Order: sequence, then C-alpha cells, then structure tokens
Amino acid sequence: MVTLFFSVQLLGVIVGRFDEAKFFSWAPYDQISYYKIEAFRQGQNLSSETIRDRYHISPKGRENRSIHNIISIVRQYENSYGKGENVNITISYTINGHHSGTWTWPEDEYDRK
Amino acid sequence: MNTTENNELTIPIVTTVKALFLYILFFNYGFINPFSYELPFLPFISFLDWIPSVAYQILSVVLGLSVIVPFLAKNNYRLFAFISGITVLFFILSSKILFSNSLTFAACLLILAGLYFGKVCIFRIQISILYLGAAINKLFSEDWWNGLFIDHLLGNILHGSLYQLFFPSGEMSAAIVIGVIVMLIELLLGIFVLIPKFTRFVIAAGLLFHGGMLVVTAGSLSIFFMYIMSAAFISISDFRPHQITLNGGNTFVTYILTRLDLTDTIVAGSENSKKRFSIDKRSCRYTGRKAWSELLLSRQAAVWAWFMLLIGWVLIPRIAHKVVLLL
Repeated sequence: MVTLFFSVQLLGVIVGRFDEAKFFSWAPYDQISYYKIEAFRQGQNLSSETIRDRYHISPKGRENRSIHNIISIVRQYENSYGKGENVNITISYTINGHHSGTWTWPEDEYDRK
Repeated sequence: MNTTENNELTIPIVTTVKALFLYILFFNYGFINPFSYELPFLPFISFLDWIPSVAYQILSVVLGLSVIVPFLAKNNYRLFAFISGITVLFFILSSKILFSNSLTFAACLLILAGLYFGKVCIFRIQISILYLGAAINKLFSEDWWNGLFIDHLLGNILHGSLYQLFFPSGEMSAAIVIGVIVMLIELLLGIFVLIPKFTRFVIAAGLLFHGGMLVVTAGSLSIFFMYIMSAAFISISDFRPHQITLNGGNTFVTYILTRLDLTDTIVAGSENSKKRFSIDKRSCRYTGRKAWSELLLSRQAAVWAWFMLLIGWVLIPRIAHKVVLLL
C-alpha cells in the first residue's frame, strides 16, 4: 500500500516533465504568472463577477504555480459544465515577468510572443 | 503513560499528526465547513462529478471531527490521521480549485501516519520525494538557471524583500546564484533525508532553508511550507521530551494543559485537586511557580509555542485586516 502510494507520487513527478500544468508533480513556485481572463458570450463581455462565479478563480491576478493550472481549469469548465454555451475566452499572461502569451478558447490555441 | 503502546504511534509522529490537525483547523478551515465549497467542481477525475454534494458536506463534518476529536480523546491517532488525510486528498481530487502543494503534502503525511507500520523511513521517503520533485522541476526550468524567476519574484513581486534592499535595480548574477543555491539545497535535502545519520543535519538545514526564505522575502513566502516541514521533520527526529505529570491544582487547567500538548507527554496525575499545583518530571517534583516555570521551559511548551507562532503569523494579520474592515 505504502509502495503504491509512493509510486503514484513518483509517477506524478515523471508526468510533470511532459505536462505543463504540473498539478501533482511537487512543483511549488516553479513559475509565477500574471494573467487576465476575458470572456465573451454572444458578443457580450462577461463581467468580473460572472467570470469569478463561473470558474471559481479570480478573473485577473497572480498565479504562483504554472499558468497552465489556470488554463486547465478554464478548459475543463468549457469542456464540461459550460459545453454548448459558445463562450469565447482569451487568457493573457506573462510568465516570470518576461514571457508573454495568450490562450484562446474554443480554438484551444496558444500564441506565445 | 506510554504513547507508543496506547496509540501505536511514536511521540514524534503523534506530534507531527497533531500539528497537521491544527494546520487543517486553522489554515484550511473551509474544509471542515460543509457550506464553504460547492463540491465536486472541476475534479481531476471526471467520475467524481457524479458524487452528490451532500456526500461532500457529510465528509466535511467527518473531517472536522477527525481533526478535533483526537485533541479531546487523545487516542486513535492513526485512525483519525488516515481519515483526515484521505478526506483532504479526496477533496483536492474533487476540485482543481482546491489544489495546493502544501495541502497535498500535509494530506500525504497524514495518510502515511495512518499507514504507519513501525518504520519511520516512510516519512523520510515522503520528504525526499517532495524535495527531489521540487528540485527536478526547477532543474528543467530555464528561468531558474538564467535568474529570471528569482529576479522577478524577489525584485518585482515580493515588496520589501532583502533582495530589493541590496539589489534595488536587479542583479541577474545574484539571482542566478540564489536560484542555483535553492536547487542545490532541495536536491541535497532530498538525498540526505534518506540517510538516518544525517537526520539532525537535514532538519537544521531544512529549517534554515525555509527560515532563510522567510527572511529574504520579508516573511511573505514559505510560511505554510515552514509549518508543514517543521511538522514533517519532527516525524523523523528523535524528539522525545520527558514526561510531565500534573498534580493537584485546578482540574480544568490540568485538562486544558493536557489537551493543548502536542506531544502527548503531559499527563494528569492521580493526586487530589485540592492540593497545590505541582509537576513531576524526571523523578523530581516542582511546586507552585517553579512548576509553572518548568512547564513553560519544557520541550513540550517549545514545540507548542513554535507552531502557535507560525499560526499566529498567518492568522493575526488576517484577523486584524477583517477587524479594520469592520471598523
């Protein structure tokens, strides 16, 4: 049981090498990002409160882990609870103060500058 | 009273477990409030979405009981540790929003205490995986080698840090050195924690490392990890304070003192409460003020004060902020 417990964690570290979100790979404070989520539904801009209620995260702020944590949350929401709502989303971010980029939905594409 | 015989856990592990119970109680109190979170919400494993919310509300109550009851009952620590660890991990798996490395690590330690079979090495391996995982992730990150991460964190994000004081306009070579030192320390801690003869060195180095981070960042980073690693390090230490038996004095005070003790080595004696307060420690009896001063200068009190200091460090500003907002 204990061996299995540790094996799963080691697997998490290995998977973290290939997964940008790095949720269970013991990667605290590996990168810090500032981000902003903008969402549109039928041409209407969703308010900050609506975005907060929708994803349970701040519409803009600082992420002390990988920015892909935030993107993963939004992507999963839109693929599940929000499916069919036709929401267009743009997440603008800056990693470690230098690497800027955007992620867009429903394209699920990155534009890294 | 022999703690090992009564609850199958050694004194250091009991101390670790009780410190982690306090971590959940004070830092993650939302978990024990059935109405704090709407779970499941964006779970890591999709089938968890099928579990009704009421199940999570019940689990919140179970978690609350499993971290509070051990302080009152002073037994079944293994069972309560396992229940609380599994419940916290289940909550994390049920929502990406709840994920945090420190909380996941606390849950892992609690689960291991629940699975404890007499080998302290399981805690060593757990600590090792954490440090090695953290080091490996940094080693593969370019921004940790070229100083961008450290310079951004200490120069732009954490205001009032020592880095800003010494390098107000940023100094990439200093950032590179700090980054490499951090990676090296994490790597070495991850390796040396596995070797029992280096335990004291690892504990001292680990506490200095996390304490150093607190100093460099002016107290704004690593406080949760300082708390959790302090608890984790106790589990692998040879921390065995001498038993203190409380005699006489106020029954209520005796009850509170034995319940506040994180080590389970302060026990109530059988003497009449009408007698003057005294303590027995290492075959010596101390009475009145001398008893209180012995108690306050004991290792049990030191451990309690350390964790209370860390809890207060986080909670007092939060409470003060709320009070100011109310006014």
